[in-house]
Amino acid sequence: MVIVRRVKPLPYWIIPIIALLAGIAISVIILYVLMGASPAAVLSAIVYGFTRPGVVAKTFVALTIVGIALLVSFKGSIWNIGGEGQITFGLMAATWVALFTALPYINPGLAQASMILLAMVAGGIWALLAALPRAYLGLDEVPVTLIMNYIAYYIVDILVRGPWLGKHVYNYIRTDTIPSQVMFPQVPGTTMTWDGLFLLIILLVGVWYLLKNTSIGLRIKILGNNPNLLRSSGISVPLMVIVALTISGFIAGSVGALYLGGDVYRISYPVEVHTANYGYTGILVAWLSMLELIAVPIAAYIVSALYTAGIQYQILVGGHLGQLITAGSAIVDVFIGSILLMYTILITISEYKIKIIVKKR
Amino acid sequence: MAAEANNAKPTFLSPPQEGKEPIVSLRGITKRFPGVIALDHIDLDIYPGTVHALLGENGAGKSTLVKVLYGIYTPDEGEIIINGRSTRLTSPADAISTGIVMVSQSPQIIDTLTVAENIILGLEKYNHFVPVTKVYKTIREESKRVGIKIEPGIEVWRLSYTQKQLVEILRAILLGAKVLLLDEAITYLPIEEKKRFYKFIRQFADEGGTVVLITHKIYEAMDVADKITVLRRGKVAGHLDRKEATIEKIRALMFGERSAEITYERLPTAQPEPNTVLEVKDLWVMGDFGGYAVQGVSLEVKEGEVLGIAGVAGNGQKELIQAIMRLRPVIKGKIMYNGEDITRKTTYYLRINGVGYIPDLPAKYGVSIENSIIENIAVLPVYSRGIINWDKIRELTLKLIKEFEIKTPSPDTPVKFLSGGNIMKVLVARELTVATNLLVAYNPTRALDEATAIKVRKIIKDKVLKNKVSAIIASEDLDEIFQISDRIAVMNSGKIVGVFPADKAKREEIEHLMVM
Amino acid sequence: MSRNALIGVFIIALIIVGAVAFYAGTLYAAGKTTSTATTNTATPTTWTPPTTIKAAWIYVGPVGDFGWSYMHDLGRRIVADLFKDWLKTTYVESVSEDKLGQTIDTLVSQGYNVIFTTSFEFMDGTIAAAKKYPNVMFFHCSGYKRAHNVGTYFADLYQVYYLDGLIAGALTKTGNIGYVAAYTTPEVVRHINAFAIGAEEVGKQLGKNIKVHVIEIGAWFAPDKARNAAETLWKNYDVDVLAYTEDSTAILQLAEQITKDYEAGKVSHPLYVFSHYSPGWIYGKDAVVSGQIVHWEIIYADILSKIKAGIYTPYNLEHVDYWYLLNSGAVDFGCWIFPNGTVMHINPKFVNILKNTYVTDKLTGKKMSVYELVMERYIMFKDAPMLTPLELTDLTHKYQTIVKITVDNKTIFIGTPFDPFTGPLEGYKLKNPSEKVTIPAGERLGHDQLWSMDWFVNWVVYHS
Repeated sequence: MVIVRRVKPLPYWIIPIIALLAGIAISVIILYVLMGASPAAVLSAIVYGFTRPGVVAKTFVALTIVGIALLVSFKGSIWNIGGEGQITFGLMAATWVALFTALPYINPGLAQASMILLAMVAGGIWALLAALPRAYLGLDEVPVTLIMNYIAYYIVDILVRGPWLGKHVYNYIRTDTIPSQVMFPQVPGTTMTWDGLFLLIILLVGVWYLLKNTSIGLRIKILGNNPNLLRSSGISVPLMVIVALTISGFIAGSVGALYLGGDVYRISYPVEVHTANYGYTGILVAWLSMLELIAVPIAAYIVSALYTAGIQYQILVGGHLGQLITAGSAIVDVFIGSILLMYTILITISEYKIKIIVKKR
Repeated sequence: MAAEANNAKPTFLSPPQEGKEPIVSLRGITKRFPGVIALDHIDLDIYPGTVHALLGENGAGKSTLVKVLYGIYTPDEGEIIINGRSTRLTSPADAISTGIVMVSQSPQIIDTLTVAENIILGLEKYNHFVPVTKVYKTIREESKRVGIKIEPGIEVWRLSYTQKQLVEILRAILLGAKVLLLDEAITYLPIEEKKRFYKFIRQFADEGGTVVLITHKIYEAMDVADKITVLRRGKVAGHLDRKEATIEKIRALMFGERSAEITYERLPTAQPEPNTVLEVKDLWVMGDFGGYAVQGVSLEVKEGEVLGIAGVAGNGQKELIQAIMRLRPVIKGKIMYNGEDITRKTTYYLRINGVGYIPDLPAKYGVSIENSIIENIAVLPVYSRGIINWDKIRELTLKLIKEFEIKTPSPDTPVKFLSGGNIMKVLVARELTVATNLLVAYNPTRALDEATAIKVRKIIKDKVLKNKVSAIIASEDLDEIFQISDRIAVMNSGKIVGVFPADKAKREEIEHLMVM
Repeated sequence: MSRNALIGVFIIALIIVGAVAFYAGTLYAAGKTTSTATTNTATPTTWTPPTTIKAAWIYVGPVGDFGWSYMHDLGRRIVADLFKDWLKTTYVESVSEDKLGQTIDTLVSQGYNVIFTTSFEFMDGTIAAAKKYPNVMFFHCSGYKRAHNVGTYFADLYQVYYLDGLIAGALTKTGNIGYVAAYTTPEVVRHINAFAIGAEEVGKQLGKNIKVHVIEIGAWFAPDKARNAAETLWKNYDVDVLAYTEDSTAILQLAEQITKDYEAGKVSHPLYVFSHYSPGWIYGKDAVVSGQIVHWEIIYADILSKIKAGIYTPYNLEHVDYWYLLNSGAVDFGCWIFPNGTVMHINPKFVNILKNTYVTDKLTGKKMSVYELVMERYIMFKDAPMLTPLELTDLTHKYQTIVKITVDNKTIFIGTPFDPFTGPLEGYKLKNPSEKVTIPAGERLGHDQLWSMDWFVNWVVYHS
């Protein structure tokens, strides 16, 4: 067997599609062989997941925004693994506006806008803190951003245990529920909020414009491909690193506000247990999109549809009497795991050809 | 030995050399890539004990042929015969096991390991149980025999490019190489070092080894090869014996009708204006590994003048050029641009004030090959501040593509799909456009074949004349320096050791100063 | 593919998604407007219970935890079989707080019309979903927020913990008793106090200085943390009897190992333990003394049969609040259920010691063995049928503290003659230990005080 680098890689957009289909096929087989899950039930759950945009909407919005955020830094080869921390910091900022200012009672609309905006600023600052050592000391951003996720968790944990501990929480360690004025209104028939929808559209268009028509966008792309060119063109590489990572954190931070205003309405201790892990799932979305902006919503839709499919599968099989342990909640992990695996394999196959040659001796 | 040149079917007429069988024979090797035939029925015989040069301009198919020989590509058609036996090479390991070892232009060794560790890697006969002292002894003996001096305990990152290439060759020999493929392996070496290499190559061949020298530099082939095969557009243009080869003949084979364009006459000169554009006063700059690489250099460039800086690589030219471009800190001294002190200014300041820059190794420092031509042009701060006007830049790009005859399907094509010459043209086109005042360049044509290099030089000189731009061009290629400069400064050990008007400079004198 | 083509595909995809979302939206919205109309007309007279009730359970953890979620699912499977003629059930496990809305949406779109959300975390999410689906019935376990279509229910264990405490007070030799707490929510604090009150009642009479050492681990399901906490209590605080609130069996296995070592003479003191939630004797036949058992099916059967009968509708649940104690049968005292259905209240291994330890019943002044005292109290708690209707709505909880009513000069007991949370009791606030709490003699704490308990009795020592 020989592995040969392909002269011309396969068209890049084919890979995620094949990965998706093959991953689903493999999940069906794994679930059938290992757990005896009926392929019909699994497939019908998947079809259900993909055909219910209203149900999928909320996760879709959050994952798309995180995907866009990570895309900006990934384009510059800055591997922001800190989406989770930036979201947590955004969550913290939004909670502050909602619980500790008078704004929700004075002007709910303005309060909601400031929750989102402040969450973005907080996410941006958190990313900036990781960007500075990367830019000026050359510290690898992957461990730095990863560690900062935990620091963000613990800062919020300290706040929730201490000064932010709610007064009406029955000894649960959590903040009070945010005023109903700043609970984001829902789009009828869907799980998403109007705030989330508007933010998504603004960010999609904004980032598209940023990457296509601004010097910052162009420089981020070139930063990812050849920072030496930036240097010889007279553009500061450290500055571009900071800009790319900060924009990424800025966008990711907004998800913290959406999570608060449309999902949980308060922070519960320990926050690392009560997180939706959008910051990590977003990495998967960004990779499945092959770092193409327009593919981010598609990748996000696929991932969120699979979550819904996991729920639907449990509903389908959960009713059987006498059956204690079904595939249950683990099915989502099987889906995502299989797709990631296929994706990784296919990325290799797209660049390398595997030939089997019988040698004549 | 019969003449083989210019024969349509050379293989039929190539008789066995002095009774020897060829060690490697290629018969009808064809390799197709989507849309191109990279190799079109190549026939070639390589005899033991010879240095066989493969010559060709950029894109002639040399690299593909080497990769076929080294098992990286498998040919679509044809046969490889090694030691009289038809062989399939499916990986470099296969090739190595038959005694074929390649050394490429970029050293494939690991920087953080020592020389000895790098050499042991991949050598099966040195397993875990061989004492270090024995390995060191072997390396020392072998390197002495080859005529090079390398301390096996030194970490590779401390070595110069030349030394790294020597380590590669040493490893190849210890791998038991019978056929050494040198893929542009010595093209980028300084002249002095090259001469030592020639000696080694000669010795290796005289002891019965075989060297296949792949290059686009005609004089390299002329200096050392016994036999020369010229490739042109994927076909064998001709086989020549060294004794019958002349530069003109080879050029004719390599470039066809374009060979007429090749000339080493000095390009026309303009009368320099009196005002000084660039002035460097007593400049001190640190090198990469400590110590002063530039030691008190002073020079000036007048308006409309080309100052050439001649010198053997590693004598501070790189650091000087980078300091002028504000890419390297100045320890002491002053740089004046248009009468203004720029010692503390940034690269950005120069780039928006009419300074063009062609760095060394353009694919690495001058362009981003994953990005499109248009993006590679738009990246300069003069073109993009805030929101980019793509219409304007597209217009400019199309104009440059036409003006510089850049061969590309569209301005949106990623640069990596262009040939080396065209990549260089993109860079030169961009930099000449922004160089409204001063062009700073380092080895601007090194990666190019002769015909293209001369064309690029003409374009640069033309621009300087027409727009009264000044230029400071450092180059390790004396032909280039003589062809393009109005004045020549010779740099040696971080100092300027002599300045001559180009029309009165004597080549021997400059060469002497360079290596003094 | 060229950039423009990609953009085209993207725009088309956006339009499709938008159109489908809009279509789905109008579908849901249509359903919603009609239902809102019905709710606005107060209680509709036209409500008829569905012929087939589709009920779904949403669990915060995996059903395989053999604790909280497992027992809820056991209840589900029992009622599913019991009412199989007209009931269809399903469940979704390991649902995090943020996925609740999505899960409910999926269930409702499948026609599920009764949804049980079984974690405190789901409270606000359940209320929000109930607003969105006004004609679906929701029941939230352990919360306090209700709506016209959201009822609440809970089976409380404080009486059982008190009984466990009585035994613990008799068994401890060191006087140091332990408690591993998941959190210090009012529920857990109430259970710690009840346990401490029972232990002190017996221990003091036996001349022991009773201290209850509490470690909070910050998770409902965390076998490693629970095990570490229990080991710390045993090692560092000389604890030899332990109760806990955590959803795994890790502590039982640890206690079994320590007790075996003790009996082999390897360690200085044993670790006896009370199993939590599901019958745990099987995991430690030498160490498990007794424990708490929950029968959620009692509550589920009650709710579902009332829905079927048309008693509960989506428009009248705002006062439905189950607060079921021992008398309802929803909880029980013991650590094993034999195949014939009888309950092992106390591990036979310990019965003799308890029968040979004598104390005075402070209610009657009678001298009796600890075993008799425990069983007497158990029967007293269990045998209070009159309380059950009072435990059913938030309007009637306040009458639960009434012990007896005098009619024609005759005293008729409607409640239990004894309750552990009766003054005099002295304690301190969790958040501010210097703030004292005093319950005057004779005062019995009612539902609301128990429900929001935020103080420990004085002999509880909290180690964070």
